[in-house]
Amino acid sequence: MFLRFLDSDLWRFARLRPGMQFGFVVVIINLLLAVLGPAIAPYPVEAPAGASLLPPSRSHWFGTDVSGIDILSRMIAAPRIDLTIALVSTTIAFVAGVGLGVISGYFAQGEKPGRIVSAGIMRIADIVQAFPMFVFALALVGLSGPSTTNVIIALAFLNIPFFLRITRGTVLQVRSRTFVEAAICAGNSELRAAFAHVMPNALAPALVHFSTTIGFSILLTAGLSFVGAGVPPPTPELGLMIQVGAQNMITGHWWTALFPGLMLAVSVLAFSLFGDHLRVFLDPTNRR
Amino acid sequence: MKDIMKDCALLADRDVDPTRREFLLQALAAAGTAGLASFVFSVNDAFAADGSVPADKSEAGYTLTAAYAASPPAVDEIAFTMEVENMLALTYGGDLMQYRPQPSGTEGIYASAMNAPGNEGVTGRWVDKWEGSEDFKTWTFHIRPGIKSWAGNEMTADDIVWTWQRGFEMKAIRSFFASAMFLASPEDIEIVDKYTLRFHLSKPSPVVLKLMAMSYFGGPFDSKLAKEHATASDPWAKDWLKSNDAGFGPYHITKNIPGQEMMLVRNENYLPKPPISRILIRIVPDPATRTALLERGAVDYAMRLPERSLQALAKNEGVTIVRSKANFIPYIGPVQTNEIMAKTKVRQAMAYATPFEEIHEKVYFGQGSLIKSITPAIFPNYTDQYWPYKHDADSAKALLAEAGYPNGFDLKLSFDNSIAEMAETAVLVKAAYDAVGIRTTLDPLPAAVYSERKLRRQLMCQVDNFQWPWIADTGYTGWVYLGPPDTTVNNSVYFNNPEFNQLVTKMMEMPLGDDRTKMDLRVQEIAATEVPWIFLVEPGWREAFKKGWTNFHWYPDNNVHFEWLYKA
Amino acid sequence: MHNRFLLFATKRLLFTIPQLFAVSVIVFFLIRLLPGDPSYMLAGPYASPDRIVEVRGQLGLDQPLVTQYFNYLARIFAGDFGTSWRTSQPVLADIQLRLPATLELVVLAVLLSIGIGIPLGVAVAVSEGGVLKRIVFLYGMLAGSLPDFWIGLLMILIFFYFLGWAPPPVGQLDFAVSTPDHVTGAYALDALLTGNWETLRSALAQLVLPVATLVLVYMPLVLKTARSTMEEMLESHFILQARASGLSRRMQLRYALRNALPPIITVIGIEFWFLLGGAVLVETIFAWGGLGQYAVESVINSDYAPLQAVVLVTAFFTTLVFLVVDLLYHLLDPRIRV
Repeated sequence: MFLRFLDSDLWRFARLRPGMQFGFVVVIINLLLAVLGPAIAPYPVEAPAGASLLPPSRSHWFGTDVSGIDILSRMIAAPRIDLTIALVSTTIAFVAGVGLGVISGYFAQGEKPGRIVSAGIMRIADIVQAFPMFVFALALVGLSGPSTTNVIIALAFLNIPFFLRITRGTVLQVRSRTFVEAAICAGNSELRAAFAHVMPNALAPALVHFSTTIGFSILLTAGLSFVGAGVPPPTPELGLMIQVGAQNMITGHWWTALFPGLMLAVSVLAFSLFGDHLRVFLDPTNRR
Repeated sequence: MKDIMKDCALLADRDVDPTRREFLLQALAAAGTAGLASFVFSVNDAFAADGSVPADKSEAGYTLTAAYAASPPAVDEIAFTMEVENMLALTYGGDLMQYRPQPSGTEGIYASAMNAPGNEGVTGRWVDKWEGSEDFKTWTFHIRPGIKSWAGNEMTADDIVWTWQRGFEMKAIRSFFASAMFLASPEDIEIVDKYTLRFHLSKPSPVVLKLMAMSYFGGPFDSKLAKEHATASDPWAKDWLKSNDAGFGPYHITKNIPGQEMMLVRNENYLPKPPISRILIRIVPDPATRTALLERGAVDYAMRLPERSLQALAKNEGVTIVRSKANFIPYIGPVQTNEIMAKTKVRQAMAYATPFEEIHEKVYFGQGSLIKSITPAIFPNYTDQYWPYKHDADSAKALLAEAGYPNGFDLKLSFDNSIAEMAETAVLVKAAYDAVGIRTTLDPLPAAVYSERKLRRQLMCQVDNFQWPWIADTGYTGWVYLGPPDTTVNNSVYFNNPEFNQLVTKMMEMPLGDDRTKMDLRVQEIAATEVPWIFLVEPGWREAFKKGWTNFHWYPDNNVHFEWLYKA
Repeated sequence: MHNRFLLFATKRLLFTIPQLFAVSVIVFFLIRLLPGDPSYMLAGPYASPDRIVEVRGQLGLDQPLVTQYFNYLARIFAGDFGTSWRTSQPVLADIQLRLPATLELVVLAVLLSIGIGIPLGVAVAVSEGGVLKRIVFLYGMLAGSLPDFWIGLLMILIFFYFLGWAPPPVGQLDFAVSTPDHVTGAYALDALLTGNWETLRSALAQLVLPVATLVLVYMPLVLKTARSTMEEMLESHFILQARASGLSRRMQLRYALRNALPPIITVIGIEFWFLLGGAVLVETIFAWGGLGQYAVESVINSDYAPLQAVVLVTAFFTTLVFLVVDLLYHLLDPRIRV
């Protein structure tokens, strides 16, 4: 299996692109940490393991935060939270967005009832997209109280329109291809044709967007936690760590917000890079 | 009687040497408050000697720049945040009485005479003479002539009566205190002459003078000025007074852009003349930014900084951290509408499971002291003899088993997540409780949601910071926070102990004396053994200033009273 | 062609109105259905149950939701967006005060992003390779991953705290600098328009760090789009044709740029949208006193009226921006069919 991979297009493509390799590696690390995280953390993740605000040292590589909790341990445990939120919300948005996108694109140029549904879906998407994303997420989560569930719901809701539009665009193109006509002639119902035949061929751009959305979701979660409308303390979450650490940073304890911030940047970057390169890979006309 | 009168006059006389004054104080205390059936105090100067402003500094005319966390939602008692209290204290200056300033032990910082027995720590603010009847029901106040608001109008008895009428009408904080002092209606305030009024209370009130020493419910209003801004549909000028002040206090608001900035200027008619003539306030919501501003000397004062910022700032030579013992009571409050929390043994177990020392060390960096009674340590009759609790996991587990929970139980711990120290405390408490089998989930809530749920008693257990009793009296403290739950709005933990209820209710409506002091101690005992509140750390009053300012006065409202400050 | 454009424009404009209506419905019901009753906090801890009921009545919270919505709508048309309990001011007044501050920040950030991002992107696309290309590429990828609030904090830390170059982050003006006479509400602009040089100096100094933060984090979007679109154009058939026909390099670039504009304009629109909603945290850190900060504080204090108004206003602006973008796109690219 591995040898076949080495021979594949993907590997040949990736070999020349250190950015993609970097992205891939970091994504894998994140996923591993998400699975193993708290188990391999050297110190407890939500309980103090030493004095407050210890600078980085041999026993605490990234120092301790204001409650005395080891920062490295929290950073190791953070991907589980961030990725869970990002993955779950993005998946929900993906399923809903793609589903709606397929329907909207497929029926866009057909009979009247279909056209109305299709247009209706688009208008609703327009409306949702008019909302200021961050403020809206803030309102949803902030007013009901910080909790992981609320963040997931808010993020899922806000990301649906993107998947919807991308899928609809592709579906519009695929729809007019001959094999779809063929499928209908063969006796498939419209819906079946839409989901069984058109959709698989229209998934690629949405899948690509999946990766970048994850990165973006992580950033948004961090931002929400920063104002106290994200996950509840003492959940290990990078934005929350930055919020708590920010005040310490000003008074000279720079490690409290710097390391979580770096980890955040690197992770988001990795997801973006990976997704970006994947897009290039999947779209032959783009390749250089 | 005459001896006591003379002694009191001597006490007030600033030329009496300290040792003599100490002796007199002790003699009075020894004589017992029982002997003081009726008393008249006569004070030459309503502003005591300690901490007064040197004459040359009064002429200085400083400008002070401050970074606040938020604007006051209003400059009137319709809203209730720390910032509102702060503004009211600055613009209205407080009600008829005040606590006497006294040295705190630290140079340049003065405290308030809260620990004096009975009403000895209280003196006149706007009044220079006052009398109370033997039965504690009739109180006469003589306003000092010549007190002028920033608009130039003189304070008269009419202003006071208008203020109380408005208070009853607003049904807010002032009317609450009317009920606490058994003032049934504004008609019970008799205007004797231009400067004299007499309050006729429906029951004896031992704490009425201390109630009048507060400074956060707005007023007395310059009623002439306020009426100029009243309309037919708004006879009490509620609209105008939301953003403007009609006060006799040391400062006056000239600019108020909510959420951005405020500017106050000195009331040139206020005496003693405040050295600071202008206060410029910017609203800086982020505490990290506020800390940075102070560190770099860009402001004179930054409000609401958590202890960890203060620790770091203390190392900065350009910053002074002002500290004084205060009356805060942060606590863990099991809410007794929940059946597990209602069991005394469970609460005692939680008390033994609480990591007091760790909280003291990690959240407050060793500042302040552990609280051992419902009565703050600076109040009269304070005792710590009834408080047995220390962090002891074994005792906690044993008590849990006795209460019927050998395998622990699930606890939801709620708090206001905008207060950093509550969040940090909650994290430490969770770790310690988890270790004895109390499986704790933290429930941080936005401020408004927290307030609502707390007051509706919908929480299971809360970590709270919002209590600081003003009136230096155990009876009052017990009554306002833990009194009969069906009539006490602030009893958010639904503590309902019949003996306690009976004691605090009685204490609020009886004259001072030996009997009352005995009840005082019994109230503290019940509060300790029944542990409705698990007391945490009294962090003390702490404020951060640019170096150079001095003459800080601590007042039980825990605000900075800018009218005393000057540069050394 | 003009007729078709007018038709398209009218259709788009007409649709905007029901869109805004729908937004108002969603905003209202979503926010009302969330928990949190500000009456308790507003009434204060000493309020009697009667007083709390009274406060709730004043806020209008005791009526059925649908009635509340229609009252809300009626008031909006009358220009009454309610009163913020936090500022005791009408929300409309609060917004009028704060919107210019946010716009000042956002417009400047967008202008700078375009002013730097497009030329840089085009230059990199046109150049044959080398260090500049790599650096710009790296920056583009990296900066888009950075949390803006973190960058803002670092900026304050480095430039104000350590180096002392930047003025204190206390908002649009430093202490003791008087606000300029009101023309637009944006302090820097007003100072310029009224010739108040001292205030202008202070306002510009205060703008440096927050705008730098926003540009640093949000410019990569424009940069990437400019670069990749330009690259695509340069390799497209019609440019090859132009080159083969002997057109000068300059003319080639002009044509390429002209055709690269539509996606770039779309991205500018997206950028605006991002910033309108995204400058929130930067505003909070720099105490800017803009709409975003107002929104955050409203959420934290369960202050419904301002929150609804801000979301509505932002949605309105966003819709406007998208409308303009769509129209421009249509004008510039004749291939687009409605």
